[in-house]
Amino acid sequence: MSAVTTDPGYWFRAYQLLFAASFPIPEMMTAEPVTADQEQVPDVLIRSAEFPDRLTNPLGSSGVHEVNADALILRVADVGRYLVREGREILIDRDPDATDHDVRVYLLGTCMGALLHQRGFLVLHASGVVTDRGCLLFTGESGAGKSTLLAEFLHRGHKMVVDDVCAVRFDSADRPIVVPSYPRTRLWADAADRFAIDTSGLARTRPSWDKFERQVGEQFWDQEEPVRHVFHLVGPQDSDEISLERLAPMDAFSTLVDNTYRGILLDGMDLRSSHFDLASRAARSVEVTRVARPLGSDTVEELANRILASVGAR
Amino acid sequence: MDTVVQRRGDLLANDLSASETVMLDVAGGTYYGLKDVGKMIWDHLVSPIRVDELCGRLVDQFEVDPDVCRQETMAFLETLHERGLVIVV
Repeated sequence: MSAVTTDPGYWFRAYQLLFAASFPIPEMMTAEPVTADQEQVPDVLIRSAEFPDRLTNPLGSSGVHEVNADALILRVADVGRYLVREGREILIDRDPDATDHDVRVYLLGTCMGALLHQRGFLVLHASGVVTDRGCLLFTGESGAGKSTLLAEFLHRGHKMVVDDVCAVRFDSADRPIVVPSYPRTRLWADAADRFAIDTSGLARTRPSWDKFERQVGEQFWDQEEPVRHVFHLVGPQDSDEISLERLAPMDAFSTLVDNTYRGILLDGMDLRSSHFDLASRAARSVEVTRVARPLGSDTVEELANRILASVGAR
Repeated sequence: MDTVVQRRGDLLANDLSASETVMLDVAGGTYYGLKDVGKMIWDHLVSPIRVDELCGRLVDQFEVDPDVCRQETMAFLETLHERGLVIVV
């Protein structure tokens, strides 16, 4: 590992880790700057650099990635190449035509997910809000209504702890704890319309994708929070009403495995068995509820009411 | 009935509750789940055991008809064996 000898310039805190980067990352919360008499060592260093095209001993690969127990190389056409290694460093060799924003989309997505896997977290594809009954996590396929539901909880004044790449650790009593990410959420244009959020000044997550980003500011919860409930949203059903079905532990386990962030990388990262332990531990103490809503009607308020009522939260 | 069976040694298994367990076949990348009686039989297979000894224990545990128990246990063990989860010692 290369030692940090100079201040790379930009300092952030996310996932309870101190990041130092050679460029701004406006999605993350700025950390205290380095003081002259005290050398600050980041947990994770992010910088632009050149690096070899291949890993020496990949355990997994595809047209766009190579991975082994220590590192991931990700190649994104027209954006650049990324190297994520040992949970401590992300190198970026960017395409000259890439926009800063495009570079950050993959940095904060796949690369951050891989980094958190490397650091031993249970990494879920989930968003989370805080209630008086702890953190509620929402999982679900795209189109299942996750973004809209998160927007509804924010609209009601709940605080968001994570959106998208969700890191869970276990405390000394083996309870799952969600680690706060950073105060940015993504929402689809229709969800934005519904809540009358002005999207004209917001950055699009990718050109042509109709998904917008929004900083949630004071509505970000920057503390670790126990997770007792996961709500898994499935696509609209041909039925008249919303249904909430508490899953047996085995189905809860499957849901956590299926909603692991970039789970396809686990074998190549040599993390399949440790992830099995993490998912089992989570399935023992988290209640997972399958949530289905009726086709073709706007039910998000009722959905939020039902979810809150099911855990006795307000 | 004097066949001796045992769990395959390299399977990972974690209990999710008193009546449910999940297994991972790391080499094949496949997850399996067992519950209730299946889980109890699995618990007995932690070390080598003769099939008739296993059936005897289950008859004691569940107060079922010995013939029915033997038949259903054999069918279950065959399923586990076909999937490579148990080995004949």
